[in-house]
Amino acid sequence: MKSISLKKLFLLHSWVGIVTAILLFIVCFTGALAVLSRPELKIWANPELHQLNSVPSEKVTELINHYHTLVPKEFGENIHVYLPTGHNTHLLTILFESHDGDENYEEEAAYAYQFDPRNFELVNEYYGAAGYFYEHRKTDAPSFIGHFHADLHLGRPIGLILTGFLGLTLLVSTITGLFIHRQLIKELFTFRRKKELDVVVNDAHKIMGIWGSLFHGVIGFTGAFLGLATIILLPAAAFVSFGGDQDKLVAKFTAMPEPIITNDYQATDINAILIDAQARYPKAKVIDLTIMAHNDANAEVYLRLIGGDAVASQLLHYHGNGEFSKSMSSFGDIPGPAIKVLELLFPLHFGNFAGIFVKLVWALLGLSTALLPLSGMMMWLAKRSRGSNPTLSELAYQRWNRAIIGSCGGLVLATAILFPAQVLLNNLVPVHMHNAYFGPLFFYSWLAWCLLAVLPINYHRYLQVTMTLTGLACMAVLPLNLALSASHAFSANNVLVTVVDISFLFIGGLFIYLSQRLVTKQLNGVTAKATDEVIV
Amino acid sequence: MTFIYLTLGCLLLVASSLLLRHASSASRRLSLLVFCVATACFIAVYGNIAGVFIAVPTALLIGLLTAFLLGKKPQN
Repeated sequence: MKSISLKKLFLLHSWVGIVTAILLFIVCFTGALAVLSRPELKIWANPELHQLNSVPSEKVTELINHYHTLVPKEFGENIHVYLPTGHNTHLLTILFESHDGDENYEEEAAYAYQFDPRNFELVNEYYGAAGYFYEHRKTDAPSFIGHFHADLHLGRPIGLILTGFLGLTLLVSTITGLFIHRQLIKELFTFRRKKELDVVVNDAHKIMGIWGSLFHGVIGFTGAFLGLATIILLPAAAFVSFGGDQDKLVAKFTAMPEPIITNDYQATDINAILIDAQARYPKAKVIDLTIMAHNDANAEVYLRLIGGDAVASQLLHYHGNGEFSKSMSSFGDIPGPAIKVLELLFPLHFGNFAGIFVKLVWALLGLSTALLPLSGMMMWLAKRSRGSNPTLSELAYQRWNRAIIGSCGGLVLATAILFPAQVLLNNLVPVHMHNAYFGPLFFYSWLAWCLLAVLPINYHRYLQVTMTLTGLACMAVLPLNLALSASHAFSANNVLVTVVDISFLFIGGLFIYLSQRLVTKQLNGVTAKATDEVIV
Repeated sequence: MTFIYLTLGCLLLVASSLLLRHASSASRRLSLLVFCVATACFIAVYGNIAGVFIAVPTALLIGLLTAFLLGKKPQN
């Protein structure tokens, strides 16, 4: 490739990285955590789910039938059941929905009943707009991080467009980076960790870029698709094929068309359907059910399954009498290879297609994706502040470094704080008040840490304190759980809880160790510099 | 059994990565061979397509960790 083209690619790579580096770090870091948020961390965060293996299908059937008798007739047309698996709500939720509302609501209205999955006691009752119920469901630290990754809590469509756009920039950076660093094999293992920090960062950026290029590319592409599909691609498809009518397009391809209600009574055999689904896919988990026209001759039941041998989530369709109809993708029963490809984009992005091992691989590679823009930005700053004719003054260099530590380190710290806070909330604050804590705690601690960057403090010390506090926040999880909770690492009788508690302790210890190493390295650097000056 | 296959697969990927670290072409070929055996372990757990799909990112992660921990092999 001509050197002039390479130079252009390098410029593109640099500027795309510089402009989006901090945002990209934010999205990728929270994405790496979000991989483990559902169901693993969500189960950890909700004691109701600690001892739970599965909910008996007879009990689910009994509850649906009983509560159906308590709601007006039109609310039986659509019943959504969310099983407490760690993917949806933490409680067994039965939601009776009327699409056309009722005398009090013109929009979709719902009656919702939530039960403790351990003893099936009614915990929460709701009547009102369906949208309000979904928006104000109980959240927890993992779900909060997961939602933050999806749209940065900016709401839709702005948040989705932004994260989708960041996916595109990641893709561009990955491709241009591969062209720039063409000596891939030569640089595969070049990591000189005993050299000064600039060299270490430079080498780290290259090896993370080379080894992770395939992963970064896939995450960039799938992220861009997930962010932009509903905002840009769906309207575009509607414009091309349905004269701009999106509702028509959705109605055409919906996986769950509305049945015609006959008003002839026929009991919907939910128990048999659940048993049959488990027999057909014993390794998969039923995460929710949608029952249409319950107890009508034309009743239809849809079960969403995740896991097992299927790569993506699947939708099982049953008739009301318990007869199995078909298995299809979550997009519906649409033929053609394109839908298969689309179906694969979700598990490829979330890493949820083959159990916890793959999720761990995805989380670790995701962390490398997060560190890539950060190291790139550090290289860019170092390059401009060194040499005989630096374009960046020492003061500006320090300010930039503090800004990076405040924004990116602050995010890591704010995220780490959420987990001990989750333990405190679980044990000291009533459940219905939890939602009010996560947002302020996360954003105010992050903001406070960002504002600290304005002060003229030594950025090495700033980084060290950030890492130490993050480590302490992580390490606090296990002792807090031991002191306050009845279900902790040594009593939960749940391997997942034990592993998560101990992992927090280990990660916290690692952060503190690295912060100490950083100080030692800095001191060594200062001593070496002083020795050089004496020799000169 | 799954645990044993996954552990074996990861250990083989570490070996493959260490072999790739050597500069000689013979060790690189051997590295490819070891990678294929590791992939077979993943295939035994996840099936043909998913096994390959999972072996590749795992190899990338292990390669990255090897590079971080050991760096480039010193030339004699």
